[in-house]
Amino acid sequence: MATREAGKKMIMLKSPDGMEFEVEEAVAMESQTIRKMIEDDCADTAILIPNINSKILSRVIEYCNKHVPTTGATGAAASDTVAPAALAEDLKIWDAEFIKVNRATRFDLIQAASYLNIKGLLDLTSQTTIDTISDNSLEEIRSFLSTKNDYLPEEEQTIRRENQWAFQ
Amino acid sequence: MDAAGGGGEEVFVTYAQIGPYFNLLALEGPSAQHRIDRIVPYLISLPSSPRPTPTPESSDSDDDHFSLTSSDDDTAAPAVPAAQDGDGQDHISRLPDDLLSNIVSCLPTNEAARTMVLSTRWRGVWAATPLLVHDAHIRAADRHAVRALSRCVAAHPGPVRAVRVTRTSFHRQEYALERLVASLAAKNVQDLILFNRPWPLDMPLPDDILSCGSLTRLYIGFWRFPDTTAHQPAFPNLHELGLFHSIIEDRDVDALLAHCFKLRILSFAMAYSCRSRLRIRSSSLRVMMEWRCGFNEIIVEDAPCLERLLFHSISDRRPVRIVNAPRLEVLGFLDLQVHALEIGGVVIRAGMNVRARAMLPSLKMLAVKVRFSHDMEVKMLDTLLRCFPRLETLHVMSIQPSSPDSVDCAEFWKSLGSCDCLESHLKTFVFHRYQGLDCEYLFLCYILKKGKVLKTLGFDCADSDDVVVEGGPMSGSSVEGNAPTGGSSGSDDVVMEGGPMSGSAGEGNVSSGGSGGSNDVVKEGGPVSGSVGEGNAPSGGSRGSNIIYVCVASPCWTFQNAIDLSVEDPFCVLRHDKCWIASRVMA
Repeated sequence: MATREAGKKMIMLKSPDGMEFEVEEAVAMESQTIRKMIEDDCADTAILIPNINSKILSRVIEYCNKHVPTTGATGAAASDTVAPAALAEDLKIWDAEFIKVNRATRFDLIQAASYLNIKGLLDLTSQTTIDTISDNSLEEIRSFLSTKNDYLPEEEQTIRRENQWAFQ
Repeated sequence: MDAAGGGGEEVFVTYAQIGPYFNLLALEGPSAQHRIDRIVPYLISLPSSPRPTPTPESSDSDDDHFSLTSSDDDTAAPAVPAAQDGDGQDHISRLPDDLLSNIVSCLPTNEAARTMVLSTRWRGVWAATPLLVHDAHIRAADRHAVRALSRCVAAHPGPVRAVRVTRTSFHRQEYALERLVASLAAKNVQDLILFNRPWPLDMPLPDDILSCGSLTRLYIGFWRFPDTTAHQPAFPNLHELGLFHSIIEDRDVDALLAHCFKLRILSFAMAYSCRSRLRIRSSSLRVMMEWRCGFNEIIVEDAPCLERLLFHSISDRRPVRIVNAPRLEVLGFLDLQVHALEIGGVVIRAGMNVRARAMLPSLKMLAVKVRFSHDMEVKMLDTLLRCFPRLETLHVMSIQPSSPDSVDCAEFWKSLGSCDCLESHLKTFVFHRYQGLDCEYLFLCYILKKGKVLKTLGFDCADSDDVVVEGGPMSGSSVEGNAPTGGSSGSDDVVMEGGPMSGSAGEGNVSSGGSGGSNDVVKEGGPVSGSVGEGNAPSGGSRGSNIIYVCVASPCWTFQNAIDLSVEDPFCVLRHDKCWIASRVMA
């Protein structure tokens, strides 16, 4: 992690709908995309985050705030007092709560996580989709993903026949 | 299995022949079927999960969902999310293909393929996602399993990133097997674990395996390896190769080594029907592992990069000849009953005068299995120390003799002079399965007395609950780390001072009092002796080499650790959190 001297460096993030969020540099740098901007010195005043509205951006910042490594922030090692396992368990519960959002928000979050390159958030948001596909029938998946079946019936039959092994 | 090599050994031509042979091996004890039933899951558990090629948006994905790890269990079913708030919008279409691809690559093999039917776009996504195949995900009836695997690979345009097939029997599925391997070769498979579920044990692996030029990692199990004289192996990218319970001719091993220019890790496991010489000639090999095999002879002929030569050997005595391995750093477990070591053309004999030619100055870590009741093995142990003048870490595992013919080696160790590694290099000594026998104790004393730069002494008593680790050698001088009193004992020979019969605090010191649990060691030792120090707080640094840390050692000798170069010590982990500080008192 970069500078963690006494005065924490703050970064201004701007959403396209004009909202501004002031966050600690360390929190912003949870995003590899922003980290790169900062490291390349492209982030003097404020960073405009295109395509991510203020509602989603505030959620993303919430996630990063929670997941930024806690050690060193206050000078004292926080890990001394809290066992890492307990900390991880705590985060998991928090994540599960965090991801209880509607579908539209979830896909927005996937997109935001991908653009900002925040691996943890991307995994978390993708996992719900993965679970859905794993557990449901094709019709249910289509409905959940709002995916339109654009096959002709005979085309779909052919694919099913050719890949019978996958449908057993 | 040295058929063409003319070794005059048994050659299995048909499936029918190997069954009886295997049964012969098992005349005493469990039946062949029973044995193999136990071996198969064990071998399958050895290769670790392949490291998936990173996808652009998740550079170090752990790939939890598609797991090729050793656990063959199906992933626990996650909670079904309620089909909530259907707002009719096609959210997914907003996501770019590489994100969908990321999702597909996390799905089990069959479910990933099922997404093809969702829409034409998803079909394209599946085809564009490197294929992952795990036979646990393919729910075809047994006799259709191979065909299903073969179709799965055939349906995908490639590349095939990783395949793990460990549950499928290929018996009487020769044609589908041919097709599968041919497809894997054509679709540039990168990481392949291919085990045949016996029987038969000697089913021929199709020649096309030799054409899988994109392979970086290959583990095969329960096959007869194809003849390389007809088809030259082409593995320019192969880093890691494991041959498990497979029949392979010596010349084919030679050919593999000669054609794998990037091979770093080579392992053989349970190839105990082999009757062969394993000859290592490789300019790239860094780790060579023999895990419970029956090689007649192991020769490291020319291995300029070899760092680790590891054995987990069983059965008959065999020579281990090290001709040229200038970078060899780790050797073990050398079993003094099984391995007859030869270095630079010189057979190492107990008590011999070791010349420079028979030394391996590069060696830093040695692990030896010794029967301390055997005079020759005890003497060999001393000779070995002289072969490795720059040895830094020594692991000695004490093996219980089947017939306790106690040898009085007291005079031997007492009269013995020092050697280079003890004088100036040996920093860590770990005693595995220390039982407190006199002969073990004498050796321990010898190391403590002569090991001028010894810093750490480890004990592993995990395998024998009732073992009492005698506090003897260190007891007289074990001190509280924070309140050093070293020197008060006023002896010039700490080792003998705190002898096993001292009856002083020494007993309570390191003794686990029969409970054996390493947690108890500290707790029990503490109050009794008042000499348990905080291992992580090396106080009194000024005393320099007079300080010795006595640690609990947790054995970590597993196949995975052995072949993992990032594991510094594959034999044990020193528990510095369970550590005493002892001070040695010099004259």
